[in-house]
Amino acid sequence: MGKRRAENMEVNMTPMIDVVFQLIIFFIVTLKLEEDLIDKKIELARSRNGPTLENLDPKTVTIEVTRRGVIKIAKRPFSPPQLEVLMGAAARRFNYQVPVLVRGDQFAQHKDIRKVMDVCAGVGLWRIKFAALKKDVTEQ
Amino acid sequence: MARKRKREQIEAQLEMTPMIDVVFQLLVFFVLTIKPEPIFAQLDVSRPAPDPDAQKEDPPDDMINITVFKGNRIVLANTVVSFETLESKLAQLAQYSTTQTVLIKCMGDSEHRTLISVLDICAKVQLKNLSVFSLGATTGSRGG
Repeated sequence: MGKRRAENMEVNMTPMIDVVFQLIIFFIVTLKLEEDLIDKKIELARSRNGPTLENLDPKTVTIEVTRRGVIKIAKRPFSPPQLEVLMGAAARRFNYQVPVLVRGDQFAQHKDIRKVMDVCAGVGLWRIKFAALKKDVTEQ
Repeated sequence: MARKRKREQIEAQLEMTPMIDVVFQLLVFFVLTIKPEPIFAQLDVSRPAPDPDAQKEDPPDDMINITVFKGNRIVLANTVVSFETLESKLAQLAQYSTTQTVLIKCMGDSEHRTLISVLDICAKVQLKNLSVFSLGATTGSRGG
């Protein structure tokens, strides 16, 4: 009689374990393990009203310009002539439909941003996107 | 005999406590290490050809002309304006048409964040046709 009552008092752990496993799977799936190919030192300027950067075309070339004016793609520095060769090849390969995203540091001078814009326009890529910070981590 | 069977059943039960401990450890680890990604904005502009001959032509009169100088100085139609004034003026102009072209001329020594601020204001008032020119002989001829 007493044994049966003790068995009935046991907490059913199955739903809790289910929930915990769901949470772990969620965190594992959302965790970004691969290192980003962007320079984390670049401080973007703020733009609260710009359209959100999402569903980026896989063909997009992200060009970074550091505060000191160094042009980088995937953390690798490029001189304007090297960039011209690369962008020219990309433009020809994808029939001049290559979206260009410029991640310029907020304190970079326009003359350095201009080098990238001139190279892109020179190879026939007129449309350029500037990346900016819409919402910081602390604001979420 | 019946009592013996009952004891075997109890002994066959799975011990859940260590597994729950490990699972909680993992959960706490992921909760502490996860970092939300910032949200980025994209500001679309067009860049006219860097051909000096094409730039000699004066832009049409109905274009909105904005010039960006060093030190967050902005000139709208030959008048130095603050960001607030620029926003109100552009909002007024955008009431007529949001498809009119905005010509943003940037000096070579101006900071990139000033250009982004101007583009942000244009995005706020829904002006979409934005062209960015560069001024100042820093790297060859005038670009844009």
